Amino acid sequence: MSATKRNVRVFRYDPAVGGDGGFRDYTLEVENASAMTMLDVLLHIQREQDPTIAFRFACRVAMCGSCGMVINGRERLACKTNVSDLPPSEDITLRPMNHFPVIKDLVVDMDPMFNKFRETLSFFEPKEQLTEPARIAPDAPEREEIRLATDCIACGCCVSSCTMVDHHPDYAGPAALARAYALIADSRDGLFQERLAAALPSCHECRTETNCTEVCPKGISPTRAIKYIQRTALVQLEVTPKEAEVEETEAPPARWEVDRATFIRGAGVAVIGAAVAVTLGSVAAITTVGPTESAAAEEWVSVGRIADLPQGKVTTVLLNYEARSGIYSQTISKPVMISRLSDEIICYKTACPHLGCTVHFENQSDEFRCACHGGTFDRSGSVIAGPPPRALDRYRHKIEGDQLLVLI
Amino acid sequence: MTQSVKADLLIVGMGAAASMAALYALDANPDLNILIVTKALKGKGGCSRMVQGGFNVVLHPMDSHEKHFMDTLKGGQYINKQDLAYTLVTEATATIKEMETRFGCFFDRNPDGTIHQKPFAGQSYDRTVHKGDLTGIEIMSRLTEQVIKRGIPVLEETRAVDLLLDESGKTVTGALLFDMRRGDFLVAEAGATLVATGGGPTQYRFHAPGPEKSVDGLGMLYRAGAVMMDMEMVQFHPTGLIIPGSVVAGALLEEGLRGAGAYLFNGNGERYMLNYAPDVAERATRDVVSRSSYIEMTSGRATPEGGVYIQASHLGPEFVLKNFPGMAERCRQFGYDLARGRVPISPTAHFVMGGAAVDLNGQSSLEKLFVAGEDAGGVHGANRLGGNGICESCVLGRQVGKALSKHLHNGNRALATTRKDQVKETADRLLRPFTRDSGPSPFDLRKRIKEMNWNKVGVVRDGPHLTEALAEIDAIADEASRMRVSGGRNYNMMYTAAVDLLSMIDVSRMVATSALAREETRGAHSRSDFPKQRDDYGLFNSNLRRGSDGKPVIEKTPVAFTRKSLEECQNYRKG
Amino acid sequence: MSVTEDEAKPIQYRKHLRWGEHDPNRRANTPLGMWAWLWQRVSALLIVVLLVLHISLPYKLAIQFLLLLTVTFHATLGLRVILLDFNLVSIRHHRTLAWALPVVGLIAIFIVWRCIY
Ligand SMILES: Cc1cc2nc3c(=O)[nH]c(=O)nc-3n(C[C@H](O)[C@H](O)[C@H](O)COP(=O)(O)OP(=O)(O)OC[C@H]3O[C@@H](n4cnc5c(N)ncnc54)[C@H](O)[C@@H]3O)c2cc1C
Ligand code: SF4
Ligand code: FES
Repeated sequence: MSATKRNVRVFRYDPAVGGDGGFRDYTLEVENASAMTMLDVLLHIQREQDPTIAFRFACRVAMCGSCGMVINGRERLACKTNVSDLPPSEDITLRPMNHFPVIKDLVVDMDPMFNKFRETLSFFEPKEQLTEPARIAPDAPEREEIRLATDCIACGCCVSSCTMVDHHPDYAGPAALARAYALIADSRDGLFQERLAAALPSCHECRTETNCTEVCPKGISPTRAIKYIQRTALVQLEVTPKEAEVEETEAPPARWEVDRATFIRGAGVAVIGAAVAVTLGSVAAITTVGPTESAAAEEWVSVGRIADLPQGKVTTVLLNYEARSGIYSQTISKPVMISRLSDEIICYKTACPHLGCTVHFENQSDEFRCACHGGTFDRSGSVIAGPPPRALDRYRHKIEGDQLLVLI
Repeated sequence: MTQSVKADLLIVGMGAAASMAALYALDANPDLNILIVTKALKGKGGCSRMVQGGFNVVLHPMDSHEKHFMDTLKGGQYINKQDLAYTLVTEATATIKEMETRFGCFFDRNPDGTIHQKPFAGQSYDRTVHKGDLTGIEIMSRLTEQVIKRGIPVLEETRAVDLLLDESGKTVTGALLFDMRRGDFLVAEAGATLVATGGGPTQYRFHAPGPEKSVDGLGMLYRAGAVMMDMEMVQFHPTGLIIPGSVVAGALLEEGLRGAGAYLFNGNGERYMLNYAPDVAERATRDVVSRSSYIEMTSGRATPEGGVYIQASHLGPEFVLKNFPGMAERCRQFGYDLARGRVPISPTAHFVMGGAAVDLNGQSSLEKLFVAGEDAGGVHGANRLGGNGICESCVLGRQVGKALSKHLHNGNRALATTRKDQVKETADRLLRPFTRDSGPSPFDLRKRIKEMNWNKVGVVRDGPHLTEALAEIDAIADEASRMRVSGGRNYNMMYTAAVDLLSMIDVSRMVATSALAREETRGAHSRSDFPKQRDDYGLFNSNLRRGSDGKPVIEKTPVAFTRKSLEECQNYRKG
Repeated sequence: MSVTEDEAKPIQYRKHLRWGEHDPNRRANTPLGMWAWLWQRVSALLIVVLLVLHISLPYKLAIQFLLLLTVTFHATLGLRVILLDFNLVSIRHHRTLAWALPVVGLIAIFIVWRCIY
């Protein structure tokens, strides 16, 4: 194969110099365009022409998600893109991803994305303490639903491609929402409501641009994930306003900060928007059917016989009940901790009032503990240590015959 | 003055072993101050992520820990540390269950909803748990997410360059770190230090682990004076892709291809495996196939690409595309057609069985120093079974995490005092490449050491070549002491290559020294001048430590048959 | 973890790049879905203008026709979002939706118009 010359334009930014950065051009002899990845292109330039060039990679086989960059106007993995994938007539243009602070040249700081994972509670929290893995058929609907989304390698390509990330500082971005979605659909996860509440506001920022879906190197569609969360919230979200406030104080500061220009532009858009809204408001008013996120009604659910709950212990019981909300009805399972430590029966929520992780009672220390951030509660549920803002939440209960009933 | 940080527990690396240790240590002891440092981004570096095959564990009632244990010893050709291997197989069951129930991993299922287990080479029962062929991504993504959830601080792109020692040289006080972004050193001192940087033999021409890895942990442990064992045992995977001129070269084609019946051909178009292993041919174990391919390649029967061919097309293109979509895609990216044609491959350096000598708690020979994962040695003996690698990292990472939480609970959190001047001496020495006006390029030296290792300390070794190799390593080390790095200190990749090289030099020296001392062929170690396994001679572990002249000193200790006798091992599944 | 204060030499990151900034090939590579979004917004503004014209200058056939076209265009793109919102069409076909719906809508309107006038 004869070698061809390709012009390669690489974005350079040197933190020691600062400034805006810009492209530098290199000319590269390409021996075999179909066997040369963008990583090879960069490594060749680095070895032969300019050792100061910086880029990031680890696995070089599309598994780690370290090498995302904008290649000829599109987010791609450098290790998965070959020279032959780009039209020979074009220069090769390599530029860091959008929406992440640039450390040097093509290397970006991906912490803003990891922080969003935390804010949307995009981590698994077991619903109940099990010792055996859940029995779930491979073709169970929940698994069919999220199969692909669990392959996310957190490369950030989707975050870079989504223009809304830049306009809404609170927006969690497609990657975190794709993970939130996979957890929301996962029947083993215990933070259903909390995560739904944390993820939903972000979903409203999605404008169905489908850029994320176009660029994902793993074929995941965050767009689809976002729509799924919205649909689920429509029928299943319980409105719990106070939880949102608690998060406010704890959440790490948003890293996608709004600068002044954006703010002013934003304000301008808001004025025009308001004017348009007034013109069309009447139409909208007629078509609106009212709020759709309905709160589930409370009901008494039976826990079982009191005699089955051992004295002097805390027992976690999984309640399964049918909940009606609007025209839908579904089975909900909810864990409740029932304390018979003293004569009085107390029914606690298992969700930690801090961020909603699962709280367990530890017999050894005679305390309730939350593994996430070390919240500790005494036997009556009052906070002893850690970040929880208040005592463990309780359910109301009553006794009918030998049965214990809880108001859910 | 160098910036410094203090913690109760310093964890170097963020692969499966490191993350499991962090999670278990913290969950058992929530007020521990843990600090994780990693050379890459959170959870993105290392081999755990790259695991395709899966995780060996006994789950089925028909299977037993006994069988898994015996398979492991058989694979390791009897020189495993039996107690470690026994812990590995017995604790694996609980570990995999906890990874599902506590951390949210989800592995592939049987139709009845239980966890699916597939066959893997060298196993008497199908016991490999997997998630498609991306098991590592599932494990690492879930573990990383749990680390983030617990808010454990992680210093990204901060590599450890050396362990710090107290005045006596017997106690590890922490590690000297290099923040690659700022281009500056950072001293981390801790009540205990866990090294889990995951080996990764990238000092060869072809290697399967990502090029970001550079046997740093092994180099660091050795320099600190820890006892290392069985360093001659480097596993070569028989099917690494050849892609001339690309970093992707050496990336794996799955073992399952051979299992499914793929053929191997040499440059003359002969199915050479029929000569080496007439009964099983291509289905022979990794070491046998790698060795055979290597002999073909070095006997003038290589393909134009310098390797051999793998062919799967006779299995039917549809079959290949359906069962190995990822592999077909990987080949297609480089213009090879796995489903219809032949693809050039070569053995590729895959895994280091050797490592620090540790006890069941991961404690090394130095005080306050713990090691887990691929950096630790002994579990796999002379050869690792496919699927026992990630298993080791998760299971023993978990054990070490639990042990550490206890250890640090018992009043062991106090920091020892680092030897005066160690930080300054090391930092000054390491920064010198920036100050020189001329000198060899680390890129060139790295290439040289890779070629040297491949040709002389590679798949098949012999005495004269190993002796030559040791001399050449000295020469490379000498040049490395005069290296020059250009450019500023922020995110300087040339400098990264320079520091990587220093680890590679130390490890190459250990491998060559141990290889020379073992005058037999056993497991992954094969000597053309001693082509037979000699059970009357070879049942020892090569313990090695850094001598006063900086060269490795080797001491052979007999294998302790604490659970199974030699006869039991030899008679297991004979034939 | 505690960090001592002295000379933590900070490194100056560049502010994040924005979509299209320093990106000569971006326009040519903008995916269809993005255009669908953008054109729906543009058509909304056009509708406002045409609506005003239509009310102030009634019975101008050209304006009526244009308004109808724009509304159809806008509505079909809205339909695309609805179909995706409720997963009535798989996301796999999002590109097809983005061009096919407006094309079909406009052709239908054209035919209807021809039948009436
Ligand atoms: C391609 C491939 C496929 C594999 N397939 C299988 C399989 O199917 N089954 C199986 O059982 N095993 C498999 N293995 C082996 C298995 O992946 C390893 O045994 C295991 O993952 C090692 O885990 P670890 O936690 O010890 O290290 P790793 O996962 O490698 O983690 C090392 C960590 O240390 C960091 N690090 C490195 N150097 C430094 C430094 N100087 N300072 C700070 N941090 C550092 C890295 O960034 C990384 O985070 C495979 C390996 C490869 C390469
Ligand atoms: S969803 Fe796709 S594009 Fe986004 S981070 Fe995950 S793998 Fe990357
Ligand atoms: S280097 Fe790991 S995804 Fe490209």
